[in-house]
Amino acid sequence: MSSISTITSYSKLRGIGQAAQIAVVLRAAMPSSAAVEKNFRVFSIIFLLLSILLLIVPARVFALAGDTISNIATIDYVIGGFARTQESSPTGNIVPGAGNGTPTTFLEDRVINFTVSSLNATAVPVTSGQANVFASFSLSNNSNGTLDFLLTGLNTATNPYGAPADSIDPLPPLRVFVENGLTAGYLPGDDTAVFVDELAPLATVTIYVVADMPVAAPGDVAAITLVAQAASAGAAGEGTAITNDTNNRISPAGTYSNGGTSVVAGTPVNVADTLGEETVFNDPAGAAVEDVDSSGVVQDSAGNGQHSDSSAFQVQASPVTINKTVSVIDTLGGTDPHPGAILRYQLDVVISGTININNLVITDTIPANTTYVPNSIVLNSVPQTDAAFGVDAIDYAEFNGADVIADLSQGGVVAVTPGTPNIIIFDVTID
Amino acid sequence: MKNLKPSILFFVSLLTLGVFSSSASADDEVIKFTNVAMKQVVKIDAKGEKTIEYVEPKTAIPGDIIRYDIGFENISDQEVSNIVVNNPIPNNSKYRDKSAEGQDTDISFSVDGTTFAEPARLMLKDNTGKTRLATAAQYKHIRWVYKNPLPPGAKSTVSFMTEIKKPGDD
Repeated sequence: MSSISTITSYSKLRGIGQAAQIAVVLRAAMPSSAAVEKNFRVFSIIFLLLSILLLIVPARVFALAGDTISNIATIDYVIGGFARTQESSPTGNIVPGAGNGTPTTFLEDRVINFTVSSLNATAVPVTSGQANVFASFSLSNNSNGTLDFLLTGLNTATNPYGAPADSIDPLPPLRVFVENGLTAGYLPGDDTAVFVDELAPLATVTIYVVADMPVAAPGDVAAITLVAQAASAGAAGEGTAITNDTNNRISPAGTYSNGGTSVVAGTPVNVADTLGEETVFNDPAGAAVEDVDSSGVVQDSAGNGQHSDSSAFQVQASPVTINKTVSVIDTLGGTDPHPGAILRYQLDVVISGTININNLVITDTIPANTTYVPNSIVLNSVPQTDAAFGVDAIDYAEFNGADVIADLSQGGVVAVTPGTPNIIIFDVTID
Repeated sequence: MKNLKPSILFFVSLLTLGVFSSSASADDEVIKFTNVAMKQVVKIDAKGEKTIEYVEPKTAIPGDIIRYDIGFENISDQEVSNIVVNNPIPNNSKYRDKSAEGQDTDISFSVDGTTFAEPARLMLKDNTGKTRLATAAQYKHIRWVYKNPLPPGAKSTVSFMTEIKKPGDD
């Protein structure tokens, strides 16, 4: 399925070169002929036009697998007073004319070379039991042709970021999805491709290993590895894994596309090198011992049609802390908590770390032997009503008869950011 | 209709080319003119010593270095003079700096196939219109001017090296 293209601009170049050479020869041999002079002028115009045509031919930046690389030389010389021009041939041209103008030609082989690298500089922070957490990777195609790539996420045992050691496993199965290029970050239902389709040379794509975390203690680490396997391109859809080159190198067996594709290990093939196109595995080894191949147990070796890199998830302590303080407002102006005095409670809700918190609802049951002071809730200096959220859409705090409730996410719409505390204040009177 | 003109001219030029080519090759052969491509293979033996070999480019991938040997031998019974060898840099390849060789030759280069100069004098307009010294990778043609006459039976060789362009090369 590899594409074979041939450079066509070469022959045009050659043609022009030849035209120019011959025109010069004619001038040198018959300088007095006016007809030749005219011919030469016509030729010059044609030459110019051809040059303009050539400019329209898009320039190839680099060679692709299967491209022909051709070379031809010309030689000008004078013999017996006559100037002549001859073109080279790869084999020589002892027989008059034979082999003249035959380019020295060979085909560029298909080299399979690509890298997978983790985009997370440290372990991805997650919380205990969190679903759809993801680690990000980039896959770059350094081959000289377009390729498809099969993908698999593996649960591995070594934390690529060092300490602490891998201590938990993500809940199976791990999933792998390809960024669709619209919104950065894994979005379920949005990033749905399970393999990389038609990745051009030099192109890079982002891939997510998606996991569900088990219930775990703060500090626990789950290491994972993304393995990419080269596959044939040329048509939309999942290509066939390229599991061997022509130099005895093979890929190990593996399961890809979230369990959808099984690939058996390649069979060694050793094809005698020819001037035609062959396949050469030239992918690097995994950079570290934890970068395993699709078998999951052997460090990803060089030239196996695969490349991998590792990342990890680390469970964080709960990032939300509530500091609760109380002050007494004596009806007599002092601070004596006698019946009838007001207790003013202040809850400072602080989010540590760097992750935004969604669906954050704070509930505080009022103490026994106290009575809630109606409409006393103040959220971030803004007085709130006591009505339930659904009834009262103006604010996001309520008193339900027993509890003071503040919805800091405002109905699940707002992500609560770390840093500045959210402050909830309410009053009760001592019975 | 205007668009037809260049294509007609192109055909006319092709026809003319054919006529001239056939008339030129009707003469007796004077020069045996060969052009051989070989790939550079660097081998490191057990002692860590490097040896460089040149083999047929059966496996050729981006980054490989190719040497072209262009041989010319006078197979006529007359002396040949004013020998000039021209070689455009092959497609998908870039010239390796200082690799062109040839005994008793003056070597010059061109970025456009028209103006030839030695590397220290070969200028190129960059995309901002400024004139700069062309880099080896920008050379498109090599020319060897053989300084001596070539007597009957004598032969010589010129050579140059290229690197097969890698993805990302200009």
